[in-house]
Amino acid sequence: MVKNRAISKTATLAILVVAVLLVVGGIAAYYMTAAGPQAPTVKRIKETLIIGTTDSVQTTLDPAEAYDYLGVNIIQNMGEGLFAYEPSTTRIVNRLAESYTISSDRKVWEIKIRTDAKFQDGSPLTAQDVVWSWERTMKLNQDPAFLIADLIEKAEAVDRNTVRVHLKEPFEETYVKALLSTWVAFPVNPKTSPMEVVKPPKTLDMIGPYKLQEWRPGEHIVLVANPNYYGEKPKTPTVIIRFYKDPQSLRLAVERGEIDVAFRTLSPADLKDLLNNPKLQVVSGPGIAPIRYMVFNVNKEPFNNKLVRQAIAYLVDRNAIVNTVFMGRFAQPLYSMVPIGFLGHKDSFKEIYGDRPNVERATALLRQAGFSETNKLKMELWYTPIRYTPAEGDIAAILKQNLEASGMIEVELKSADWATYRTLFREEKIAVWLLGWFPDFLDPDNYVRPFYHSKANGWLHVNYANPDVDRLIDQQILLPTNDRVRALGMIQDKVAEDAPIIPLWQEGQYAIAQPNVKGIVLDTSQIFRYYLIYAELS
Amino acid sequence: MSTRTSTRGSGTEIVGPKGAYLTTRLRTLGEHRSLTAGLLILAAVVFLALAGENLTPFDPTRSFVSVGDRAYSIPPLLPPGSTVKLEGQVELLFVLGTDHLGRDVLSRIVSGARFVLTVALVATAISAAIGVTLGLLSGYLGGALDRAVSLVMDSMYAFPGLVLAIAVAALLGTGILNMATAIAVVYIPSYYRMVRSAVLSLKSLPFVDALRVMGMDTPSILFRHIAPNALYSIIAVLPVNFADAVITEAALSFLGLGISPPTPDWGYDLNTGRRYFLSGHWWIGAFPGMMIVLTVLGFLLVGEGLGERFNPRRLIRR
Amino acid sequence: MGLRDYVVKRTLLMIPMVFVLLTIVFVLLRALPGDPVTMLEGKDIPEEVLARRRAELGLDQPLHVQYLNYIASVLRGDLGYTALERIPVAEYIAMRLPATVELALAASLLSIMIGVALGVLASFYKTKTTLPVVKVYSSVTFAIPVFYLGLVLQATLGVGAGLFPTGGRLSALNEVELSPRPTGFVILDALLAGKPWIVVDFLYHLALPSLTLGIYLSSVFARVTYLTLAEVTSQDYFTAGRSRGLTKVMLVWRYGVRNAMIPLVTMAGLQVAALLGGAVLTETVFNWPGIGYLVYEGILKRDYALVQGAVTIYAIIVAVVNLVVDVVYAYIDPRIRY
Repeated sequence: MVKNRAISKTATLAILVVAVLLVVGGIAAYYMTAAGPQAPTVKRIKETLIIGTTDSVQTTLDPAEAYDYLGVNIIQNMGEGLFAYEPSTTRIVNRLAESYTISSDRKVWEIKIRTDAKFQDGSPLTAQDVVWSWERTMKLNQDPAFLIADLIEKAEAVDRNTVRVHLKEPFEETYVKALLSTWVAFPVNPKTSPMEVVKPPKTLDMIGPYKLQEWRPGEHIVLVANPNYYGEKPKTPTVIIRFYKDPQSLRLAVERGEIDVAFRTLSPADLKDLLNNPKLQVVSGPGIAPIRYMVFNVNKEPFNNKLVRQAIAYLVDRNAIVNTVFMGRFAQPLYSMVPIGFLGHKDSFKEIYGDRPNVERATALLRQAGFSETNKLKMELWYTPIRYTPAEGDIAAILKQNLEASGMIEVELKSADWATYRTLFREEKIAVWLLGWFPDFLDPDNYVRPFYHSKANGWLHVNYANPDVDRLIDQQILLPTNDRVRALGMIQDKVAEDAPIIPLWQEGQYAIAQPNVKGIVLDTSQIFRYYLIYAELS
Repeated sequence: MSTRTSTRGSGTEIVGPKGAYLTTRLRTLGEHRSLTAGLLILAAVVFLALAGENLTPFDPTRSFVSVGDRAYSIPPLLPPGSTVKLEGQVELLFVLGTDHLGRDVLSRIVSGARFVLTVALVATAISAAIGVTLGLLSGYLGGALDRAVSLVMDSMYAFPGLVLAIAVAALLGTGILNMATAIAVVYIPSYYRMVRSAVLSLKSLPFVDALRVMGMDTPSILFRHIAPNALYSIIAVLPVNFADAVITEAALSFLGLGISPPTPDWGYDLNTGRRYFLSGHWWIGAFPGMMIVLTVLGFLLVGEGLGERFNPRRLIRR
Repeated sequence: MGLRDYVVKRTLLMIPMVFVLLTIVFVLLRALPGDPVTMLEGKDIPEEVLARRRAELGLDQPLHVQYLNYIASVLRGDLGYTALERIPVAEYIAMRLPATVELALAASLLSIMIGVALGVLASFYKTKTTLPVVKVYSSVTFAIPVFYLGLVLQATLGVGAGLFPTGGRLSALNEVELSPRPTGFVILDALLAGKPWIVVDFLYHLALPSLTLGIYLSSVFARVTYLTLAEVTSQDYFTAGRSRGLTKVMLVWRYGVRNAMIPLVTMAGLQVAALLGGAVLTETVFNWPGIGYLVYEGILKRDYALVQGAVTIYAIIVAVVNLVVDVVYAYIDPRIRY
């Protein structure tokens, strides 16, 4: 019996010692590995930057097909087009294009390509490559293909470095450059790009500051500096984009220093908290992705009656949404489908309906439409919980309250996941629903045509057709700038009066970063340029 | 004096015949303790569910208060115990604070009871009805039917319940009945198994042969004689499954597959609370969470107490 | 029958079980409104594009053909392509499955350790109130929703005390350093890559999620252990042993724990379902890159292939674990082999 005791004592002691060693070693290893690479402290900049996000690549990294925010953004860091937005401005500058001339009828452009640009495999960029890439995009005919398919009639390589583009219409100069700077127009290497969509975890050979090193779907994407890029090298050689499943995990990660930057999307409550955290910096920028709005299917009773739509426009309380859900600072009320900061933006809805709910006018209109306290308008308001903000249900609840404040409306809130939701409005099974819009390119046309032009708004099933508005939309892209602004103003006034769509708010962009991170630029282009960001080591 | 030992209950070692009586006493007291405690908790929760709407100081789905003919919007994210002064000496007290939209947390908890209990009740009823019926038929009739149904049931039983519930909930959508059905699917196999094994042991008893000899037909034997005895076996399990149903409902709402807002629901509020937890607004999620725990505990305790009393083995050996 | 016959019989029974499950899931998912193709973000998608994608996924065939195709492809090991990430389902699951397995193993281990430890402790300090205390522990840990428990642990030990990381499986740098991943299991991969310190980082990340699941599952083990031990310690042979000078520890081990193994093993087997279900919630709270969360996401986004594939794997795992449990059970207790 005594022997047993002695053995167990030694054993216990041994176990204790091992445990202590393990714990100490573990803590050390944890801090070592979590705090960054064991690089020699000669370098001033961190070798690897870690960016956390709750987005994921929902399509692919093939520029002919990518159509979600993150996918497009990563392509914007791996590739480049003829033109691009200059960081921190709304100017479009030449990138792969050296110069261009426009014919007098404005239908033919001759664009000279840079001679020093090379693909990742070292082969130089030629005009034929550009034309081939565009043809590939149009042939594959995926979702974003329309961006250049609707623009270009024909493109040919006049010589090794000149592309001649025949446009479908004499479009306005900035409009053309905006479209040509979208990712679908990025040249890809014909030698290595197949004539079919490239699936994960691969991408194509493009010309840009980074190239793809690894993509583990659902976990991370690793980008490394492209040695063959003609332009300025990226500030940080390696960038890891790490995926998080929800805003809380993202917040915790940036708070604990597990990542350098958190971008898209933290909840407003967390943002507010982090603004007060002296150990982190918050960078903000104008936000237009997405803008949020309410849609009516104007073929459905009683929303075919303009008075009803206008009454609802009088009742919605944008400030309530902005002040509660977005804590009063992370979103702005939106009074037109053309966002604040865009050419031609006009607060038409505010001018007509005011910026505060007007219950008297609303009830007067409803009465005119035949409703009353005893004969209430019964309606369903649909929303989809996951796609936009996690607070979608709350927003719907606020809107319900707004409408019921009239005393003449009864709102039933309904939701469906995105797949079903899309089916529901595409099959015209619902009458009123909430939606959001990410721009394809940064031009006010992308905010009026897809919604209000009877030939382009079919996807939305709003069924709105106003020939005056159609005409104005067709005209405005062909007009010189001042006239264009006027035309856009007229469009916004008309559609505010008809109110088939009620714009609600636009959200700002926010990046949270460790204090030693520099170079974050959040501008109207909505492009998050990894190649400008770096973290200083002390 | 012989040593008395107790193989169940409080496991107390008592010595002596006097001790023997004490053992029995303590054992029944032990059952009673959990049963009583459980019933008390449940009574409180059920009371909340039934009387809920009349007890809530505020409307759980509205973030404004009407006093006279004016509407005042309630500030969001007020901590527990906050008061808000309105004009005209009216003071509002928010015992448990307000949530992120300015709705009273206490009211939401109280109203949530009704929804949660309803869903759990309907779910348990559905699953018990289907499971018991299938178990009776399958156990008594035997043969290929029994083997086939058992196979399906065993497969479902082995399967992670939550995943099954998620699939069905996604298929059916939101609403009390839909959620209840999704949850019910998960528990059918357990009722089936228990009833079936009870039926198997019952049908080999002599009284069944006697009834058959007397000329009674199968349905009567099954439903009038076997079933009531078999049902004893599930009595103790019902509350436990009910408790489980409450948790599953909370989990579904937590994942966003449950109710449509602004219906108050504990699981949903727990999910909301999670978003605000890190920014220090702990009360939005903490209180609904506690209610879930409390309700489930209540059912578990009742189940325990009943379990002692209605153990099928004890009954048959009687 | 002999052990070998029993194993064969149980293995054969496993197969129809898996098929039944597959059928159930297939039926459930095909009846959903909406399909993966409408998940795309494009606006005016021409019908031919939609049709092309549907054909890709085999969704344009009549239902019974789809079913047969599916069964055939499962037998081949081909689970289709995910609509989400456009990679083969089998590959995607293979990538994420090890994480769930790691979590499940750690949680099971912890739950048994906690449960048994508590049960043993309680049986040592046995008083009138120990059984109620054990029962209370068991009930409370069962009653607390696993995601609530996870949030509490995350807030207290993770954020508040800063002892453990609050999410993920490895720090971002280590994740990258470990690629490529030959086995998918962090411990093996780290050792193979010659970077053993990564294992420590992994264990730190594993601590909270496995603790959450472990506590949640320990309720059953605590109770079972305690009851068995309580019974054992009140038997005559126990007192006899004590009187002969054997320590409580030895007796408890020789008689108590080994007797308790039978119900413990059974429980462990039954807990697999609870484990996998609880994994979905735990993975959500702790951002653990496993299968559980994939199932949920897949269902929401109508990714048939992914959900069916994940469920198939679940079914197989559950069936296999049940088989193992039954065999172990039969091995321990020869009376069981009928």
